[in-house]
Amino acid sequence: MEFIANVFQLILVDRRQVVLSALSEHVVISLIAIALISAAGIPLGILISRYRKYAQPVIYVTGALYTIPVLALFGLMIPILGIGLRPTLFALFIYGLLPLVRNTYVGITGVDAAIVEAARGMGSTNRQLLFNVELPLALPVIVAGFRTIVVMTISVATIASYIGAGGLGDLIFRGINTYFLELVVAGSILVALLAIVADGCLGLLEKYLLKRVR
Amino acid sequence: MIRFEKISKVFPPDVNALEEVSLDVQSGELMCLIGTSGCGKTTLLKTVNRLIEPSSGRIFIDDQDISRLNHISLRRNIGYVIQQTGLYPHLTVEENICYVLRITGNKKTSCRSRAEELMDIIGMDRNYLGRFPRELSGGQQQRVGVARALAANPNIILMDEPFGAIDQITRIQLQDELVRLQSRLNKTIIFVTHDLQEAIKLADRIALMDQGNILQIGTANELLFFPKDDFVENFMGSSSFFNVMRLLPVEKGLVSDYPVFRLSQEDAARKEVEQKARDLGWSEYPVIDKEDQLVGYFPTSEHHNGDLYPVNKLLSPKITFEQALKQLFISGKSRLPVTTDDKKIIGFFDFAQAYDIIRKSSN
Repeated sequence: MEFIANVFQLILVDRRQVVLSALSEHVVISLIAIALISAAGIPLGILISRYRKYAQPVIYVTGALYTIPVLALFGLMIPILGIGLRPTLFALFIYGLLPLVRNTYVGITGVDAAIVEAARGMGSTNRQLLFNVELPLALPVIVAGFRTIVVMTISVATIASYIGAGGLGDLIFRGINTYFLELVVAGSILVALLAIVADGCLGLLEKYLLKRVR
Repeated sequence: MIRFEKISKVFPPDVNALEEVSLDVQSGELMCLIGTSGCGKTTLLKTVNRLIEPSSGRIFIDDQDISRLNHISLRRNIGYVIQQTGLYPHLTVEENICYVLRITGNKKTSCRSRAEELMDIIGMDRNYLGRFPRELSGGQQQRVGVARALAANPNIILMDEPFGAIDQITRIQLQDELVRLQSRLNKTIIFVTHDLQEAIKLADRIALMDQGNILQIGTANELLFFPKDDFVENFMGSSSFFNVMRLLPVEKGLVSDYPVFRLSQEDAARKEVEQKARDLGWSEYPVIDKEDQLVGYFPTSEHHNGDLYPVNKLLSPKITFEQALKQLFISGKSRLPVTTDDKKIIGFFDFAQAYDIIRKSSN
């Protein structure tokens, strides 16, 4: 009990400034990465749903990137991009691509063929078909993919402190190195909390969207 | 008018879905394409709105070659109803109905009033406009599907087995509504079905297809009584003569040349009418007043006191042969008068002659 009280004392009082800046750093890194992934992943998913012959190769390549172990990927990038924010964002980007590309593609191609045909038969242009029919109906699946990358990005960003990204991972690693157990737990709890809250909110959104399109 | 000229369609590698199919669909006509699955009926339908482009041949709508038209604007001017309804689950009934109007840039308010109008036309309460498709029954969903196809007021409507996935009772209801709707709107409709009873009930003409060819085009009577070959005969035979009796309205087989005496006429004229009735083997003949309304019958026997025999039973022209036959048996008569609502006589239903009339009208 005393240990837990110490952890909260640490977070809320003693190291409040340090914790807050680590937390905000973590959130900022994650948000940038998520923005980058979304900006590339959703259009790429849409694109391969239009040109289906490229779908398998693209999903295969992003899938292969997804299987590289995190530390190995960092190791590979240090010689190229050095350490700090740039290699971190790059790694997060590469990891997050697959779930979003795949879910966007599956979501669009999974829209009921009868509905797509009706929309075409009624004279929708390709753009109208995409924005009025396919994307709204694919949205729950896309959001599910988004949810995956958000949680994953938050957790992988923790490890990225290893290559000097900053964030909550710093608290954990510093705690380990100095045998300051309360600090380790404080960092871990905050990362977990961040992921759980983000996941919960997006889960609610997903549920709401699913109800709309069924 | 829609004219198909030698339409062929080959699906790679070598499936001949259509083989030089030619067909004219008149304006205001409801043409049923019928056949077993895989016969090419849906493929032919989809060449009209160019969801499928023919491998060869041309299609003209009002003498315009549709391959020269912009396919988007072509489609916007053709109503399209499909079996699975294809309603947009994320849009309300109103937004579904207004889809074509919205993508062509109409104002939301004008769409709203058009949607209300269409709900009245298809006989649904306007309260449903704010609902989502999933909140409607299958029959209601397909009504909305029809309303959606009518929204931009197209002259041509394509219907691809629209009532195929709907239970029997609702299907008959929807068919009746389509008949009513069509008598009012007079659209050119191509209606794909595999249900012969549906085709007999709805179609002005039927095109029977098999293996990418049209085997015979004609009215239900023509296909039934004058099949071109064994395939047509077997196909029609699977439905049987009695199904036609059940579906065909009685007004299509009336004796229209019958003896009738007008009260204002001279006695000499009456003798003539009496003789005509006797020649036909009728034991009595109808008497009408100056408003053409049926007031009774005179017997053809010479010994009668000049009293009118009363009118017992009248038939409405909208009932089917089956219903008319039943009434005939109940009344114990040889024939019954068919009259409009205000008792004006249109003709007689006489079973022995009705059969001949149906056969002859097919020629």
